[in-house]
Amino acid sequence: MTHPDLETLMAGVDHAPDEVLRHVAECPACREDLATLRRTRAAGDLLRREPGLSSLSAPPPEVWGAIQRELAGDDTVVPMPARPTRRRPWAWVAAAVVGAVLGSAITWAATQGSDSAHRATTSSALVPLGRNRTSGTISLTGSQPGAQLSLDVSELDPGPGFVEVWLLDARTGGMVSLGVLDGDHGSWALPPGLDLSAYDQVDVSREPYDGNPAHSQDSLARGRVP
Amino acid sequence: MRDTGGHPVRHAGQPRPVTEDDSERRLASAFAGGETWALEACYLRWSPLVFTLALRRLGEDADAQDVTQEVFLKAWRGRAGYDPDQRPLPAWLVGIARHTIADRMSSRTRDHRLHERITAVHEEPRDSGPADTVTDTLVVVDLLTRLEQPRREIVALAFLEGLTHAEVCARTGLPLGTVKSHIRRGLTQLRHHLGAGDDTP
Repeated sequence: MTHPDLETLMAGVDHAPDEVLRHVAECPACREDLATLRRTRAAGDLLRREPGLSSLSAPPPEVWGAIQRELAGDDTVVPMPARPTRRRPWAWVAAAVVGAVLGSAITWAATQGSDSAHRATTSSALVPLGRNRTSGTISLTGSQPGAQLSLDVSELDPGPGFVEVWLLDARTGGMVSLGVLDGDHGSWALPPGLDLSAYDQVDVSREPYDGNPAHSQDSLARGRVP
Repeated sequence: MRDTGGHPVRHAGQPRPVTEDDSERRLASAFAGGETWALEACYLRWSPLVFTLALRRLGEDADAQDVTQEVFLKAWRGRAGYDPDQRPLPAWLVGIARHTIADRMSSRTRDHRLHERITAVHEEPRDSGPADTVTDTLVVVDLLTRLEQPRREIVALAFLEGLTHAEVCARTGLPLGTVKSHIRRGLTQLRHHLGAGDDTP
């Protein structure tokens, strides 16, 4: 049984030649590929008609807070705030909140490089951890070297100690302190040599006045570097 | 012959990589295993997809928020019934989302005493199956946002726009071998994210 090559299959999304159809009828793998190709092409057609579908919206931070409150009644309480240690697989937390990442058309999505937004400001969501309600927006202006990170937060719980902002390397557990957040807005120049593909998490923690410069492990909120 | 990495024929029953994104697979296993960090990671990763899908179907922001909350709670509480080897996590979540949205729509219908419409409204998302293009579109957009360049551009041109390999090469300036390899991997990722079209949670 000879499989049609992928390009032949792709060309046959609308009108496949008879020999391809005969093969596909007998071959589950190629049938599944063709079905995927057709669904994806239909998605492309719909995107052209409705460019609004090309961006996803993140739910407001209250939704995550509600999930945690709900689960607090379960046996399987989610013991957040999470405690960063070297063993924790932070890599998964590094998955992004999408926000409106894609623009308004396929070609936009297709031509945007990850380095296309040199001086532009991009933003992502800061999501509360545990029973905290602190949430907000993380903004990144420019790219490394010379990038600037800023935070706008709301519902920062008044509490003891002070609030510190960190960048976290999910894979190694490495942390870099950016500084103190005083009030609901802060802005920091990033260390020029810092690799943002590794240090891709923003962590906001409450720190006691104990003279210990390490992270207190009392994280209030976290989000992805935009 | 399709290039199958040295094997002349790919057999249908042969295991093949579900995704090249190992992190996603490990997340799915951790979620199924009840590791609590996985819920947060899963929420960060897929709540925009679930929320946007709900918003699109229900129109009301408050309803979409409720559905998003409900989907992740159902997923977490029902994780014992989730087998990461059988189903990619996003396809499972989208399945739960579609049922939750359908329930919400049918309860709205009851609220409006349009009894004759209950069945139709309730059944609509289930019947739509793989032909549910709006869901497919949002899933593809969600995947595209994750892809690095040049794969994102290649996938969009080849699969969404329907360009030939040669046209993709001309548009991107990349050699044929590179384009072919990205297209092949892109198809695997699309198949994985779209799932089998079966929306049973």
